[in-house]
Amino acid sequence: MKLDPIATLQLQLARLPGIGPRSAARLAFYIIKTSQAQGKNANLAEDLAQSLLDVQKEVRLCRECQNLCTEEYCSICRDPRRDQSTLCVVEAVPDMQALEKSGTFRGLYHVLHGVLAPLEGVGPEELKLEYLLDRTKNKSVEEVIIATNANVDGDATALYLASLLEPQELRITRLAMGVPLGSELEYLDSATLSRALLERKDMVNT
Amino acid sequence: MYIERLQLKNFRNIESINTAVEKSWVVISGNNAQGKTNLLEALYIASTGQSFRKSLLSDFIKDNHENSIIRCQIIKQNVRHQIDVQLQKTKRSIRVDDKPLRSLTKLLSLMNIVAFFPDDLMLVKGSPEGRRKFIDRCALSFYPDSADIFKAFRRSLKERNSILRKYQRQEQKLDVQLLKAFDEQLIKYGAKVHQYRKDALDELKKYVEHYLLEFNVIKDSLEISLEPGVPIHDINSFQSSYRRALAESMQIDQIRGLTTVGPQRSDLLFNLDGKEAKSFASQGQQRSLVLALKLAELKVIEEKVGCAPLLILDDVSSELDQTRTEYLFKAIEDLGCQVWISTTGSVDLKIPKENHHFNITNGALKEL
Ligand SMILES: [Zn+2]
Repeated sequence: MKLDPIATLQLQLARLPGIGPRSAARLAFYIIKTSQAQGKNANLAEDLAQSLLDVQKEVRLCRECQNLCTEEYCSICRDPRRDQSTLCVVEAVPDMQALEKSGTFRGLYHVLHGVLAPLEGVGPEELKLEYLLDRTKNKSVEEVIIATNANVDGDATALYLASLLEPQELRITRLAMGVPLGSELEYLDSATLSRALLERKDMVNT
Repeated sequence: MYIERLQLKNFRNIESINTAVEKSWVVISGNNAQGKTNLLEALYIASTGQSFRKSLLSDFIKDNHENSIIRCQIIKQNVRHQIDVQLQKTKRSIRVDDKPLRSLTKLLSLMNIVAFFPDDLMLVKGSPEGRRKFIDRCALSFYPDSADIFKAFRRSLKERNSILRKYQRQEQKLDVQLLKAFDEQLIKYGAKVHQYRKDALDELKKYVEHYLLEFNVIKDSLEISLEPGVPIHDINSFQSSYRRALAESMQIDQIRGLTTVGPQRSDLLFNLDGKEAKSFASQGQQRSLVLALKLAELKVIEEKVGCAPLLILDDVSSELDQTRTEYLFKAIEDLGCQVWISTTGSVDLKIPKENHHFNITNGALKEL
């Protein structure tokens, strides 16, 4: 039996985070309608399909910082003007983009693609923390800024990371986040983010 | 604040309700298992984001339906607001004034509610869990900001327990640094939870004693103390006592695969004229104590918010005697609360004349 393409599209869209069945239906009908009409969105379905395939084929992780990119190394890691002595550890790519937009940070990044969450089965191995430790050991890194979100898992990840990095005798700092600044980096505006960066605190192991 | 309109769709046994309300007393009568408590539960969820019963999300949804909807229109300090709750099998989403809710704090600041159930009358004699629930409910309504702290505390505890459990079941070796990283979260948020409870208790105390004197339950003094669930080694720092307690219980926690000390184990102790209420107070005295606690909860909210909260009384009169019921009703009248009250109708409640009276049968609501 051939599946109904409209229903299938709705089901596929509903697999996206934050999209419930109702939003999925709305998006599906929008795509169908505009793809059959004239105007600026006339080729929406085709363009969207092509983009999705391109992303799947071309995007990979930067060999150095785990950022998403289309080449072996991302544009930040390839930029010789970046400060090689500071490394900022973030949970996810959008956090890195928020920091880039603020313009205050000129060092390098490391994207964890998650935080420690034993409940969800995310431990140190899943985050490939060994790889991060190798990076800080072998490169000329002097300071690691830990910029995970200021919630339970983000703070625990920061503490854990600090304890792993301790033997390397680096400066370890934490973004000045949390109440009243806000606990999720992605949602902070550039000015607040710059402040959180400038006022970053040294982490002392308890 | 009061409810102006309540709409329900496919909520438990209720297929559809859409009713406007303009009076202070809303009486819902009906036989058992017809939907009285379900209706009150819907109101409670729209006010707190949570139910007062342990339920799976799918339990809320009427059989053969995909989701259930609760919509509440309220008036608070002359401003109209709308709360929309959508319950699906895998998630709950709440909108306040058509904006998605990111933290329960906002809902709790807007909706002030006190609920009174027959089970509450067991508060003094019953399990510590019931008393923790009571003080946490008070803390949440007195300090809506505490919602995120309670949530973070629960999360920290679950994370720590999950590390211990995986070790106990030999699924993973124990990463001491990992455990320590989550210990620090537990200590940070646990200390705040403890403080919120203590503050809430101090607020309640201001009124409870007054009521108990009035009920002739005590002649002299009432003492309520909060057992912290942590041996206090250092009276100046809850955090350092907590840290030490976690270290000392490390071995037992590893064996049991869960955390044995902390605010999740705390309790309230009541002393009436120097005697522990749990063992020495009569059933009547215990009920008066619960009533006094509930009235104090109402008073504190009114004082903090500047308007009377909404009150839910689920079949309470069946357990409360006439004198206490009358006292409760008078206090409600004095405060000017809107009250939603369910009853099987077997007792004459002496409810003020200005009321709505609905009957609910098999999930269908009819105004009488
Ligand atoms: Zn890179």
